[in-house]
Amino acid sequence: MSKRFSKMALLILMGLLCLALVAFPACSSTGEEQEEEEEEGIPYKNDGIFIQETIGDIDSLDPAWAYDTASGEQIQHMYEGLVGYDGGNTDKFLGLAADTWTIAPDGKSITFHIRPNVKFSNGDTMTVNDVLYSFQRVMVTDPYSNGGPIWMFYFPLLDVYDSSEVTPEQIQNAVQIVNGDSIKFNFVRAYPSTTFMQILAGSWGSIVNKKFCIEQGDWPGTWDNWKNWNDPEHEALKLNDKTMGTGPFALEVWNKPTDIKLVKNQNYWQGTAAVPFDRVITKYVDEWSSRKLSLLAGDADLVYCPRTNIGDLAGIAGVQAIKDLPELSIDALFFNFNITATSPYIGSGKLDGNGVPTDFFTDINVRRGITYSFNWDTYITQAMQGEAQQVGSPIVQGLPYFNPNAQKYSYDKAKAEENFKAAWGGQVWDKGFKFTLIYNAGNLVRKTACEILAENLQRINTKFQVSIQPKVWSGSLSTMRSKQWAMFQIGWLPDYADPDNYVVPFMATGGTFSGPASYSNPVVDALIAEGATSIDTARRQQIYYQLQDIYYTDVVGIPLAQPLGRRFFTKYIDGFIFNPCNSGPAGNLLYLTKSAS
Amino acid sequence: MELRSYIIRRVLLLIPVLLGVTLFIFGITMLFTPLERATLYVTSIRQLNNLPAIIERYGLDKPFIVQYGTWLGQVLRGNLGWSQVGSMPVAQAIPHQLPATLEIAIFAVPVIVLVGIFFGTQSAAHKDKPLDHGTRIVAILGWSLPSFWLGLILLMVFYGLFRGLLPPGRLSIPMDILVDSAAFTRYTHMNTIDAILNLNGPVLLDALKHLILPVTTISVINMAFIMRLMRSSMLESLGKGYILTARAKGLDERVVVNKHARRNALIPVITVSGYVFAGLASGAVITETIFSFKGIGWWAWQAAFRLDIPSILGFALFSAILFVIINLIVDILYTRVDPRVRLGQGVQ
Amino acid sequence: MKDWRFTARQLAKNPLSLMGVVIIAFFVIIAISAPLIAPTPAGRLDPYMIPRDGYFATPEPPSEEHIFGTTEGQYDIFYGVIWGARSAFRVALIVMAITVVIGIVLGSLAGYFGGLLDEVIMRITDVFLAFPWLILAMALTAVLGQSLRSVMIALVIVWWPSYARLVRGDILQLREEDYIQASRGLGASSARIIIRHVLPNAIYPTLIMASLDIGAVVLSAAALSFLGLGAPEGYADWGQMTQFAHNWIVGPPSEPLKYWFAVFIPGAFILFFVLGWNLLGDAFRDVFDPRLARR
Repeated sequence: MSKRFSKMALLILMGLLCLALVAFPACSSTGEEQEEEEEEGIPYKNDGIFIQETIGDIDSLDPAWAYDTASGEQIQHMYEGLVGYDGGNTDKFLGLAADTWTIAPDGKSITFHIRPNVKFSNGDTMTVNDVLYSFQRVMVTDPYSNGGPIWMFYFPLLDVYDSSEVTPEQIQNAVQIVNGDSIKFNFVRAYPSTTFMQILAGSWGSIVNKKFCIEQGDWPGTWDNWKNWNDPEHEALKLNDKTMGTGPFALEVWNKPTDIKLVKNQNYWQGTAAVPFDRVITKYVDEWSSRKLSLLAGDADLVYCPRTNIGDLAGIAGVQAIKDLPELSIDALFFNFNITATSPYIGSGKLDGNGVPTDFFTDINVRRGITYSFNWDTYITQAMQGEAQQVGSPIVQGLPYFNPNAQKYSYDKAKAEENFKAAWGGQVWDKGFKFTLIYNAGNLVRKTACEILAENLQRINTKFQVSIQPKVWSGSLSTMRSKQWAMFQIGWLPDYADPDNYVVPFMATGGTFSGPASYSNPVVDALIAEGATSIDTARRQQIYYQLQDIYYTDVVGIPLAQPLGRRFFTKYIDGFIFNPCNSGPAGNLLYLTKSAS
Repeated sequence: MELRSYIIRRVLLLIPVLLGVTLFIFGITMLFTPLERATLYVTSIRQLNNLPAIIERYGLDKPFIVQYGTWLGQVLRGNLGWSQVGSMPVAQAIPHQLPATLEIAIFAVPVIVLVGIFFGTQSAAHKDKPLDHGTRIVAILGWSLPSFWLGLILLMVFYGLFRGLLPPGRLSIPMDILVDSAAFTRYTHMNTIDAILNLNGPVLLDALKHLILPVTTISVINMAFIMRLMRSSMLESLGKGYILTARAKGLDERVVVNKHARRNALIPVITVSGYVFAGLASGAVITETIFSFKGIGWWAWQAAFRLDIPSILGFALFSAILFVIINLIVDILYTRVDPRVRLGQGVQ
Repeated sequence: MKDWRFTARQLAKNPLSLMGVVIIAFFVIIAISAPLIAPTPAGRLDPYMIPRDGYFATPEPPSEEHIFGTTEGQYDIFYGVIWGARSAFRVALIVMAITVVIGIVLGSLAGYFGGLLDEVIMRITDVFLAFPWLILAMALTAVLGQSLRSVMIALVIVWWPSYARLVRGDILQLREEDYIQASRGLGASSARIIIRHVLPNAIYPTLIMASLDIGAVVLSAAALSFLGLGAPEGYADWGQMTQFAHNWIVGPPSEPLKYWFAVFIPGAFILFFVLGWNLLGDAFRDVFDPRLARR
């Protein structure tokens, strides 16, 4: 009898448990609305300390190596270059390590006078020798096998892309000390000065402490064995986690890979009063929910919010959402003009309805048809939550020589049909096609773009079958490189805010994207070559306007959108100035203030 | 068999296991093309054109044996390679990442073992009574829970619903700044232990607060397993002849259970606890990810994700060594607990 | 024959096992009738890709149109969990079947023939067991690509060693039994002995372990999907759906549990599915206990 009773009790217990599991959240969620969750707002904490939580993680703190934004951001808090951006302008500069500069009228050199009495964080005074060493060091180090940022110096100075074949004489002639107190850069050909200043303002232009570097075992500044420090592997870097700069902050501790803490540089040349924080802490937290709660609890002053979750922070007292920031980034779909024959993404490899041939996209009617099948309205309003604008070419708004009246495609079913019917002598329309679209795994926005395209193509003609496949990072890169992809989607961020930095990867023969796409247009190449080294602004405008036009008429790819950025601070942070060339979301920390009022 | 020679023999057996494990892992990574393996070394799409140079530099297209041989040669010279994920040499990355995981393990294992043993024993001693049924239900539920779901729900309740009561991460900001400053000396990089050694109460409390959720998540699931195991083991033990004798002699039931039956029932539990600890020490990836406790599990996951082969191989060595050592300790403990078992006899 | 009837009766008597059977039956029904209860919209090629109602990111709460609401990206949760039952069965049964077969084959070879073959197979299983299974599975899914198929292959590779070991252990015991010796004496071939005498007796512990393990297989597959290494985004897989939800654990401060449905529902399905198998497995173990008196 007792046994059966126990078993009954058992069943009842289990049933109750299940009910509880289901009922509890349901109750709580309705109960929440009535609960007097008092809107206390965000408490003010950690006065004098700026805390930000973001994703990602630092690759290296060595200015010669770092090419990613997380590293760049930290480097730029601790180091300064010759110049920096003036507020939100990408073409006006403030002197930092330099106080004045002269641009030669022939555009072949710039001379910077070095500011006196600038100190490193350990008290050493910065001299013109440190400056010379800084630039020669990055040119010596130049990790070109890995792909570092130093090509940006090499191209204007020596018209090469890496140091594999340079001689010490060339480097010594490219950067020189003049008048004992100035640094002169000599370009091989005329080079637009604004562009070079932008390059100098990057993390790779940081001024390092020569004595400190040599003490760490870095390049001694002499040329006998300079190749020993050239093109190193990551583990050989001496400044990977050791820093000594003239910037407003100095490294306190880098807890790889969790966080990095910086302290105020007590020897900062603009005076410690100009540095608004005693400490800056950047935490790398992958979980959005954690970051959000840190912000709401006042434990973080700024957090990175993924686009999909911007609604979470809407209308919350104490959260300062800054929106519609014209970031200089662009996402686009690319066509592969010469797909590898062994590609698994082209089905049968023939125009028989079960695949596409390797040169499928060389027919401009195909490209136009696909372009007219993309619905920008849906993409921007739904996938991008309305926070993006369509551009007609890789040159985005905010770059010099952006053409606001450039032609753009739009979703047009009729025109798409027309183009498809004309494609490949009508075969495309009759037989249909099949290929795979690739996107970066985990990126829902990119996946959505693919889905919009695939669905629209299906609606135009049911024989147009596009399947979608995610690829992890390693897979996407290798697929791109091996040219197996049919269509691909990826984005670009600026190295420097000049249209040259955009047209090269998207349109030049052998560009970062156009290379794997096998796109090659001699007219484009000629224009790019001319524009890169021209100092005639009127001519440059002509060139880049023409390039924007060619992108449209030649349908090189499908520009998806220029995203509008957002920042989420607490209300206690003031003074944020947006500059699209800043590596970090907080921008230049010197402009910020944090106070309880 | 003498203890010392037994230990030596077991440690020597480690070598073929290590070779086997690393060969196997290396083999898996070789299934990736050289291009894919080269992508580890680039941080942005701009470096796409450098992939061939990277392949060249790191010899990624050389035959399997050559690459493995090179790696092996380096390891024998003490160089485990560079960990891209950790941004430091692999040999440093492992001890660097380990403390966070160990901290969770150190608190979780006693909880798991003690609670599991206690309830398992009581459940067996009161077989088929409500306590037994209740324990079995809880155990089965615990064993069926997806760990990531449990973690998310706990976070949802204790971090979201009870605004910030138990936050993720290892320490709160003020404590975090404190432990990194000169005022606090780091011994083990485990916040709780270091706090005790520094005689710092607030840090200790803060660290413990942050440990509650991860430890709970891990414990609930493993505890269930120990409970069930202990119960069946106890039942078997209680059915033995000598127990009948002890009862016939009139011994108090509690003494019978706790002193006699339990000792023998503990044997399989010891084995399993060893494996549980080994498993925890090699990192509970999901717990570490959800609660932002970046330990060795997180590191190994990132390494697998990003094809950081030196890191993956380093981790393989570490966990294989750990596993073999734990096995060894368990086998030795076995002989202490059960005098019938001699060293060298297999554990079935 | 009598044995099975006895077994069935034992199972029916035990309320826990009954509950397990009921739960599994429930899921079987859901899985079979998936096209009826959650029909695939016309024109979709792959029924396992959850349909999206638009492209907005924020999950929508349960409504008339979407009984369980939608998760991130407007994927219908109801559709996902129903078809997810099919994915779960597929993974569980296929992985378990292949693992058991491999385990039995290799285990019996090792156990019966002993010697070098045994040593080699045992060392190989040592290698596999010495490595944390999750990392191994991750490396494998990373190589094989993001799909349920890779998850299944990875899990088989991770799981078979324990079965080989188990079978081997049983065979070692059985090998010395009198009737086996007798058969050998009579000149029966090894294969015949293995198949007719050794295996049937060794199978019980294997089946018990398999039934206990199915739950663990499902949990592992879900964990891999949660970590982004299993089913691709939008696939009808419970683990993958939990992955979608992990950014939405906490809603706005006024309603922290606003998106509870996206987090809770897929996980609850996993829980009950695994629970059913665990109850069943537990019951099997109790029933097949050789010390249980057979009447």
